[in-house]
Amino acid sequence: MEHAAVPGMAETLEEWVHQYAGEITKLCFLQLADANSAQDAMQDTFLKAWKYLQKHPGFCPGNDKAWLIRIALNTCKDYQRSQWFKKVDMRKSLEELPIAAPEEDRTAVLLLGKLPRKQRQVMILHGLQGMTMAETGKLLGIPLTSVHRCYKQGKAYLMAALTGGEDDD
Amino acid sequence: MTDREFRERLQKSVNSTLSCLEPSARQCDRIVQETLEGKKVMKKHISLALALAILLACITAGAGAATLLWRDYVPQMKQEEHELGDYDAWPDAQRIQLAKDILAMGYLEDSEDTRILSDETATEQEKAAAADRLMLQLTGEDDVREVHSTLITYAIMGHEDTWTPAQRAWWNGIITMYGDDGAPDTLIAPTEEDLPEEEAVRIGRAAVMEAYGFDEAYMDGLTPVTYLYVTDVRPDYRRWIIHFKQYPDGVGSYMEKEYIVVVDENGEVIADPDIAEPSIYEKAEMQRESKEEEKPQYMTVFRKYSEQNGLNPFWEWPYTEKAAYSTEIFPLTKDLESLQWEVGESTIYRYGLPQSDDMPYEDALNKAYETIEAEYGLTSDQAKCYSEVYEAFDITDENNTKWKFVLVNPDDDMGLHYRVIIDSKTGDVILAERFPWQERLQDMEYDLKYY
Repeated sequence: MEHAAVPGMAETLEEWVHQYAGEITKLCFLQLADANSAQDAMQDTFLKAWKYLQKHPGFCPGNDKAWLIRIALNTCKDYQRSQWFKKVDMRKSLEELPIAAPEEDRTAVLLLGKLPRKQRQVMILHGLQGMTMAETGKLLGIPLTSVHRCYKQGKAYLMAALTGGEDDD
Repeated sequence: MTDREFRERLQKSVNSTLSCLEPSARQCDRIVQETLEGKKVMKKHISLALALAILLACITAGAGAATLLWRDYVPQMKQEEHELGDYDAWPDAQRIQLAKDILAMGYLEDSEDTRILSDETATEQEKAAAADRLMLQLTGEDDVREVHSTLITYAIMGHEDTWTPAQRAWWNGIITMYGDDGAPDTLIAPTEEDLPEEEAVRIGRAAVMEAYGFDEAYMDGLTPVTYLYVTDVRPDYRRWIIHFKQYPDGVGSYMEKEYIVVVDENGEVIADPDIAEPSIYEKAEMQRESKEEEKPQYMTVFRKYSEQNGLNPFWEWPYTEKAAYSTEIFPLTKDLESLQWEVGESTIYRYGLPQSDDMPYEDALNKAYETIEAEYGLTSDQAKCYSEVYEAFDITDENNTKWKFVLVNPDDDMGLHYRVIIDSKTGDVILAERFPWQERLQDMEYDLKYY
């Protein structure tokens, strides 16, 4: 197998999968609003990362997690281009998850999923993943001003909805 | 709720709601293994979208008749999965029967395990174990929990990208009937009255070439995958959608790119609002515009200053940086009608450095603090809490240059901010206001308070 020729790389992949697969699946779910697709996108993410490593054996992403997240976001974008993802209903997808979380938590996720794409990505990266605004801007390829604005607007929307019981559905 | 509390609340909600999506350590091991082998783990409940990306197992010559048998059999297995759960949860008798049926259809080669299936001396457990091994052999899996009707279908019929439109329509009907993800529109099998698939591909291919300027050689590297469909909105309007997919390592590797074309029943390349699909020409144009937008020289200037200011927002740059930036970018932007917005906002005003007859920076800033103390009843200590200063020397009107300050309390950056504008020549306060950060939150003008 190809990976046998590159000592250490397989271990790196293993470490990444164990460490980040859960986070990346959740991130993909918030992008795609579909559990199966999220798991699929997560696997594609690692497959793409692995293929990249094979092509560039000396490559070191620096911030592993940020690099994988960027691949995941791009993968989700590819998925979203597909016609089948145009009418996915996150509410329905959440109801189909095997474990029923408290209603307030599901509402928060639902609201997060309803944010405009860029706001949602900023909320995920900065609000959930704990990246700095500068890291978030760099990863999304948008200026920091946009990150600030997206975060403020997204947070204000979520805060208003979560604390005031407002839901525009 | 502080920002930290908000984030913790959000984190808790996401973890609580989506914890079930986290793969187990065993599943992680499996993902690693499959990834190392360049494959993708197949899920049990597979969506159509996923189905479109599953790896190829070629339809072998001579398997046509048997394929038809499996097609007839799939609904039965789907029904059993619906009633009993996945294969690994089935009673021994059902697992053995499935293996026997598949053997009878000709998809399994004779082996010791196929012999055990009909060995009267073997126990039920031995036969079930043989059935499991045969299913794993057929599907290429190593865990019976992964065995599923969908996997068997792909093992027998190959990657869906190699199917005919009629096969895809059939499959779409099957997975929709049994509650898996259905397509938002309906795939249908072509008839003689439809625009022939080959013609649709030819039209689609020509459209992609025209839209993107590709040559024949490039197009030869793309795999066309065709679907014929109607929608709820227009059930009688039969359209082809063709995905030209780029598999760098051949079908079976991950898909790197795809170009999607919709061709209607008259052979016209169209945009289809029913499925929110722009025309290929629109998409190519959008891509070109997107690339062109990245080109302007002024963006290079903006990025340079942005990077040397730690990628911080423009309003946080020191007034000296704003002055240098403004001097450099103004010649590049003054004649342009539209700018990318971050540059647009940072070039609304022109910035410069105070001259000898202007109030020095330190004096102007002290004046700003004195102003908020006087205007808003703050003590000196309270005013000093607003230690985060956004500053600018505005030379937009050369005869009326101004110092601009926004004062923020870093311990309460979601609270009230103060804004003071001072005439740099006379030291008169032109404007003093305080505002909540979230005021006019949705209004693009809001941020201009900081500029």
